[in-house]
Amino acid sequence: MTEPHPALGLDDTIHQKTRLALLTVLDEAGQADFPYLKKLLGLTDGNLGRHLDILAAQGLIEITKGYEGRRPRTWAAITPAGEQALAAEMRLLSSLVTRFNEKRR
Amino acid sequence: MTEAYLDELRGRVRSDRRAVTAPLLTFGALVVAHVLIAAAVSAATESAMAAHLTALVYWPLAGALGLLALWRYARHVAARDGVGEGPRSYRPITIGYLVSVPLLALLFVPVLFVGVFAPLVWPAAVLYAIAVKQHTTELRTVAKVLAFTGCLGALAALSGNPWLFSGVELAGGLALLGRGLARR
Repeated sequence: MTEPHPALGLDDTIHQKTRLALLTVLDEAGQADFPYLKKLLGLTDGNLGRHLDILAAQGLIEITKGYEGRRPRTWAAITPAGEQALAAEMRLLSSLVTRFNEKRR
Repeated sequence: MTEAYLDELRGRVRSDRRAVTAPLLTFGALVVAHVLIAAAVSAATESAMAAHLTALVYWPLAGALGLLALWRYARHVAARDGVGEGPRSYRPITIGYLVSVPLLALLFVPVLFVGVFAPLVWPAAVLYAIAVKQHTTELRTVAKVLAFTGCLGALAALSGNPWLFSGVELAGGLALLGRGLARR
């Protein structure tokens, strides 16, 4: 039996480009608020909210809503599961690139 | 979506959080301050023992002050710019330090003498802890180089040349400040 192609191990939740970028930013930042993420990644409110909800539903990030004075503020923080999932995704992508380069030779 | 794009994103976030510059500038300033204080104490008392006692007290306190300053600054940046804290907070390192250093002193663990005989190793250890907790490779490398330089400084102390000892420490402090300013 042949070994399954590593691409089959990619997680659709994380592999989507905006969510991969979001997880990368949150892995580096630890935590970031909604306007920061929106500006950094050039996303609309609706688009960012939808992707954050998908990541939160998988337990990869945690969303906290609060107030600063009278201004509502929404924070997203990466969870340990999110850190592990991102690391696994990057390892898989790296192995795919290595495999691709080996096949090309 | 390329690896280069993700690396660029990480670099921008790191820069926005001042994840490298703030620790380098804080501990660089503390190293330079120690050299100046030690020189002032030596000049005032003309006693090497007084300078040693200063170092014994200085580094445990300076480490705590540095971490508290970094924690407070990170909270300020998070509130102002919307980035930082959460799992990359200085909180666990600062609290861990504030609890462990008095314990080490009470238990007479000789680690406190590191601040006397290899003063750069103390800030290097704190910077390394920050780098590990915050996943900052650059800070980890700087901490390793600083610790190595600190060990060279300790060897200089064995040679009995106090100026060389202080010179190595001053060079380490200025290098931290220089790198911190260059990365702004």
